[in-house]
Amino acid sequence: MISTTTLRPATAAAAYICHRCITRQLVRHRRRPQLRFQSTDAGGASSPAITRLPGGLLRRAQQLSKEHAELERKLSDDYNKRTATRVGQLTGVSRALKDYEDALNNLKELHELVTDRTLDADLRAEAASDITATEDSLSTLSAALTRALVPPHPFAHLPALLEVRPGTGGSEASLFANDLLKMYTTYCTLRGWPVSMVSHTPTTEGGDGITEAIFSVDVPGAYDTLRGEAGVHRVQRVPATEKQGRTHTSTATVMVLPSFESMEPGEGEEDPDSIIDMKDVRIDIMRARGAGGQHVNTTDSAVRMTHLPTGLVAAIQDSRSQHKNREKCLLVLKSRVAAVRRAEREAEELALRRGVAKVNAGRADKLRTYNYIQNRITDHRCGFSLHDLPSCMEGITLGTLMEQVRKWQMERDVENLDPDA
Amino acid sequence: MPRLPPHLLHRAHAHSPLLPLLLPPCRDAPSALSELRWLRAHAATTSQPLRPLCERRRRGEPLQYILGTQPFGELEILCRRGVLIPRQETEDLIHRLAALLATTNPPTTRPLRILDLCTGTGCIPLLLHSLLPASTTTLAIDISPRAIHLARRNLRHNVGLGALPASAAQNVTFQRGDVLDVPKLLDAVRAHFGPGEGGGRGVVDVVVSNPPYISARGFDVETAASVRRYEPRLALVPAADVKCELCTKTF
Repeated sequence: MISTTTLRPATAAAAYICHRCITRQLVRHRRRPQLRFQSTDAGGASSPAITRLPGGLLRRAQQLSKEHAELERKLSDDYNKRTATRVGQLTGVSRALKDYEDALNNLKELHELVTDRTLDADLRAEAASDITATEDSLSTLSAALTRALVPPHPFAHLPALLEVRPGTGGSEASLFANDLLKMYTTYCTLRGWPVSMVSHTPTTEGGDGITEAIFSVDVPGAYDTLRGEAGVHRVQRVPATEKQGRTHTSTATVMVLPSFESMEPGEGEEDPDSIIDMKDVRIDIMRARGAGGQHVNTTDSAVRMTHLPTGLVAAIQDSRSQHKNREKCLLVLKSRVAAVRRAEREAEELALRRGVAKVNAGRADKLRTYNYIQNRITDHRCGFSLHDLPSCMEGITLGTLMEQVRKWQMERDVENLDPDA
Repeated sequence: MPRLPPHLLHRAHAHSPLLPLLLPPCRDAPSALSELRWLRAHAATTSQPLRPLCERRRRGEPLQYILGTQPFGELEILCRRGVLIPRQETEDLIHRLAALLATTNPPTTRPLRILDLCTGTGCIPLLLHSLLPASTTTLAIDISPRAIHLARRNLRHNVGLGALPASAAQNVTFQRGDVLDVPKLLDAVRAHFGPGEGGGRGVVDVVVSNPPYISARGFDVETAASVRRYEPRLALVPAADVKCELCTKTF
């Protein structure tokens, strides 16, 4: 069919043309354009642009949407706060499903239009061009539906607490940890998020390196954005301390914890993870030995808290006020306890669902490599490489990288989603 | 006191040339690092050179006198030479006292009346006031005019910071007086709170005090050098002729 236009002059010029080609050309005007006739239901599937939903997911969406409709009917009869909350939760899914189904029906109609021989050619050409547009929108709609279906992270609405520590690699690792700290703080500042340093411990050897830094991003939802950053970050570069120009590989670890400071117990959805009994907390005030009281005047305001059931420890010595250190210390301890509890629960849930955990982005695996020599940052989870390292380290293009990770995370979440739940 | 090992001083110097200055008074690296950080912040906000501050600290001058303040609960207490620096133990104790007062049933329905003896910077009555209901009335006594002056400044300072309610200016009173001169003291207390109900009882509900309690010999032997050399002896060692007159009398 493609060759028809080019063949026409060829017929005139060529000395010989095979019989079949000649016939096809001559008869062409009396024939309808070539079309696929089996393209009714499988019409979408023929195009690779559409990512069709897995059957289980679609069934789940339909089920939820049905529940939504029922509850809404019930709600119009008599108002109930709990039902209203549930309806609110389901609205997203139901709307996404409706959009998706609408688009699917639309596509079907368009296909019918194209195949309809009673219509004139212009209209059919228009319909054909509409098909591609609808297919495009269908793929975004199915992605939206997946997003609506995958339950949001229980701590997604919380502010975040970020901890950066050097890993293997000695002083170079502590320098890199400082670079990471700068990257995250500038990224947050560029987004207009207030960053407050909870604890900042420079290395005892001097220089810019750090042995630990904890800062909080006090914006609701910051945890959801930043949680993909948690893990081992690897750097490959020639350190400032290296004299023979050899490339070193070092690591730094980033921990992202939900911050519970400003969490108000909303309608029956207070998270039990962050609650700790103060009886289980052992508070150590590190003060000088020997006589106390008026005899000495200590400036040591360090506070250390131990959560006895889990053995988790938090120590803060940042502020001169012991009172403030206590508050901060408790905040850090609560976040750590909650993170551990959540990790345990997540692991448990996943193990229950899958029997065997298939996907596991454990803390032990490196998740990103910063290669200064090749001017490249590669995220090993989603396989995305960014070829502008300086701007990423200044927090400018970090967002695109995080967006890629987010996509990957979403896909993983869908994979982990229980199809029969 | 054990010597500071030279390798510690070397490592401190590698970190910052000023850090070895802070090691003798602090005795260990973590607290020296913290103090350096606080001194640096102070030098930056007041735009003075850092080294002289560290030199003063090296000679044993309390950090609170150099920085001029000491956090005390939610409050920021101003500290000046000649007035005792609030201690962390006191802060802890006052928090416990406030919790105790909040849970026990008051004997009367009227607002609580508190008497603080030897108030110094005024840290105890001010912190109590920030923790207890704002209607609580307090009388605080000190013999040192410097202390009374500083305590009044502290009241204004913390009201200005918003750490204390504005009503504190009416409800907390600082007066100069000698707590060992019992008749005069009782007169002052009655003049402030009224005669009380029946037989002179019930004039005040709570008496708090952090009086000088170190013996003359203990002052020479047990106290830290920094305390001995820089903090007022008046606030630490009681006068030689103290009789236990206060203990025998009841309010």
